[in-house]
This record gives sequence, C-alpha cells and structure tokens, in this order.
Amino acid sequence: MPARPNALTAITTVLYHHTNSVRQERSRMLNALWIVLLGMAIIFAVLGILLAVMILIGKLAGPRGKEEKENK
Amino acid sequence: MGAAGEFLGFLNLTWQATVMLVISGVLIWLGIAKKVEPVLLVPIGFGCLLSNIPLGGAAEEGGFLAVLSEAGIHTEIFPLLIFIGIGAMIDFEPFLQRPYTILLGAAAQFGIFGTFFLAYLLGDGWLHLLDFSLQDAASIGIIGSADGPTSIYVATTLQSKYAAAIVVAAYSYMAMVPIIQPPIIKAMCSKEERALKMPSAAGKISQRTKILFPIITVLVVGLLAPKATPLIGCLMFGNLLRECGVVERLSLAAQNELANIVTILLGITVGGMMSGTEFLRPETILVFILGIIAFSLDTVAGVLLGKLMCVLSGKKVNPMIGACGISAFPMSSRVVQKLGLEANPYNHLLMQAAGANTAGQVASVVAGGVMLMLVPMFV
Repeated sequence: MPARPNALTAITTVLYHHTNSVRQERSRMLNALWIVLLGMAIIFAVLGILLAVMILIGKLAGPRGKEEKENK
Repeated sequence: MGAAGEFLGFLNLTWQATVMLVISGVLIWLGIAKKVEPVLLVPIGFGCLLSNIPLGGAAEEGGFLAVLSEAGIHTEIFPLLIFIGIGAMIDFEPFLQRPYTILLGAAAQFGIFGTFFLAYLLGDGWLHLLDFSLQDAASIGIIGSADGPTSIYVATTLQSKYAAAIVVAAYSYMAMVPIIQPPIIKAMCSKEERALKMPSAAGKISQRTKILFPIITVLVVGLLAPKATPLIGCLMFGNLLRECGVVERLSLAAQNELANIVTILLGITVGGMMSGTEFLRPETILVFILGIIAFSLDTVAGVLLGKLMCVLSGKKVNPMIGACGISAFPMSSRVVQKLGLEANPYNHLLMQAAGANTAGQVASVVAGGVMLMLVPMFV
C-alpha cells in the first residue's frame, strides 16, 4: 500500500530537521576548531614577532662600553 | 515559620547555603592553616561566607558585595588594576636574557584552546550534556592561562554564567601547580633529560632594553591583537614604572598599596559571587575538572616544545622549562628547579625556568586577548 502524502511529509520534515541539526552541530564544532587553530597561530605569530623585535632591540640597545666591561 | 522567619537567618538556611558556608570554611582553613594562596583564599572564603548568610543581603542587589561586583568586576577594573601591581612586581630580566622562551609561553597556552574545545564539545557544540555556550567554553578554557586576573577579565567580558567558579578554579589550581605538574613532567621527561644542565645567561640586560621592553610589547601586542591592549597595557605600565628608575614611589605604590587594596576588594567580591544557588550545579564541578585538564594540557604542550628545542639546540635547553610556559609565577619555576635538583644535585634551573615563566605571563595575556577577539567572530 503506498504511503499517504501527509505521512511522507512528516517523515521528510523529521529527516530534514535531523539532517539540519547534524549539519548545524558539525558547523558549530568546525567553528570551535577554527578558534583553536587560529588562536594558536595568532599567539605564535604575535609572540614570534615580539621575539624578533626584542632580539633586534637587544642588539641595538644592549650594554655598550662601560656596561659591557662591567658584565665581563 | 511565621514572622520569625522574616528576620532570623537560620530559619531561612537552605541546603545550598549550608554547603556554601562549609565551602567558605574550607577555603579560609586552606588559606590560614595550610597557607594555600592565603592572600586570595582568605578574602574569597570570607566573601563566600558573607554572601551565603540568609537575609544578610551582602550580595543581593544594593548590598555592598553586589556594588563592588558591579563597580570592579563587571567593569573589569579590578583585574586591570591588579595587573599594574603584577607588572611592577615582575622582573623580566630572566626572560630578556633568553627571549626564545617566549615560544614556550606560546606553546603552553594550548591548554586554553584544548579545554575550550572539550568544554564546547560537552556543551552546546555537540553533546549538549552541559549548559556550556561558546562564551562559557572560552571562559572555562581561560583557566588554562593560570592567571587569575586574565581569567576574571575574559570570563566577565564574555559574560559567562560560571565566572565565579572559573575564578576560584584559576586561583586554586595556581596554588596546586606543585601537585599537578611534577607527575606530568616526570612522565614526559627521562631522568637524563631532567638532569640536563643549561648554560647560564650571556650577560646583564641594559637599562635601555628593560625600558624599551614594556613599550615595544604594548605596541606589538596591541597592534596585532588589539583586544589584549587593556590587559597587556596595564601589565606593561606597571613594569615601566618599575624599570624606568625615576618613579620609585609610584612603583612601590603599585607593588604594595595598589596590589594589596585591589586584592582585598577582588577577593571578597569574587567570594561574594559564590552564592549557593548559582554555584552548586553539576556544571560547576565540570568547570573544576576542566580546569585541571587545562593546566595539564598546558604542561604537556610546553614540555613538548621544550623537547623540540632541546633537540634543535643540541641539548642546551632542558625540556622541563617548557612546563614553566604557564604563567603560574613563581610556583612553576620552583617545581622545575626542584625536579632538576632531584635528577642532578648540581642542576640549578631557577633562572632559566623563571625566564619561561615570565614569558608565560605575557603569552597568557595575549591568549586572553586572542580569545576575546575570536569568540565574538564565531557567535
């Protein structure tokens, strides 16, 4: 016996909502993964640049003359 | 109960308030008898005691704890003022002598993001087992910064429901670093690695470099991760007061009067946020468990990068100092020093570990700013 049209509609609606919620959950976790990856990348980038600048500053503004002799 | 119930507190005691009164007693006992972070746990415990006395009204609307919370926590003023004091207390010289340790600080922030992912997975992200929104998950993750003021700042900015639990977890786990870190470090580093000696620093850092460091840091971090500007700005302002050498009075005031006054206000206010109905939820217990996971992941990630540095430097870096990338200063440095001495009685790693530890302080602030920048983009 063929399925009645309103039963089919109900099944389709349930399937649609299920698929939609799975899709939404996947997209939410994907966003969270992006936050993890981007977050760590930005931290390494910012601190890497700070490291490079500090090495440069250390060379340019490091102890000179008298200060260097005192260190030695 | 009748009319007596309207003015007798004990007639209005709920089980939640009773449990919280016991917890406040435990916090005060830990602070006084066991000397576990007494500067924080005593005011927090006392604030908790005050806020859970029925009909006391200390933490209710208009009560003095509620006013303090509104003025100092919700406006983020207290954590920022604390940072001025912390900045004035920290000597960044060990870090400036070994600037590469900032990368260890960066790696050790993985605990924040790993825990955030886990919390979101358990909450609204997928499993829906707990009421953790994206903002809550990010605030829980920030416990891994091992930095009380950063945790408060991020949790209140993101308006997390669990701000009080997050702050208590962050401060109590900082005190528990000597218990959390050693087993992880021992499991990851062989005795030979732990015994590895590190060369001492090349020389002293010039006054010019020490003065330029806070200014350059604010510029670099502020321009690349602007949301971190208030936190890093206050930390570095305090450090500039310390290093510039011309405002000793202000530096001392920041280290002592300012830090002490704000610590009292912050502690008692955070305690005031621990009301039974808000605090005693399954989610709060999970916040504490996730806090331990955050600290553990921090340690694992830091030690892993330490191992990589050890190999790349031809065994000139002891991998254990990676564990100091968390900003729990100076507990973490002491842990590594102790483990180093256990493996080799002549292995003094305190200064090298302190370098990584102070680098971790900067890194955790940047991580807090990055979290504040990224989360609203994905909400």
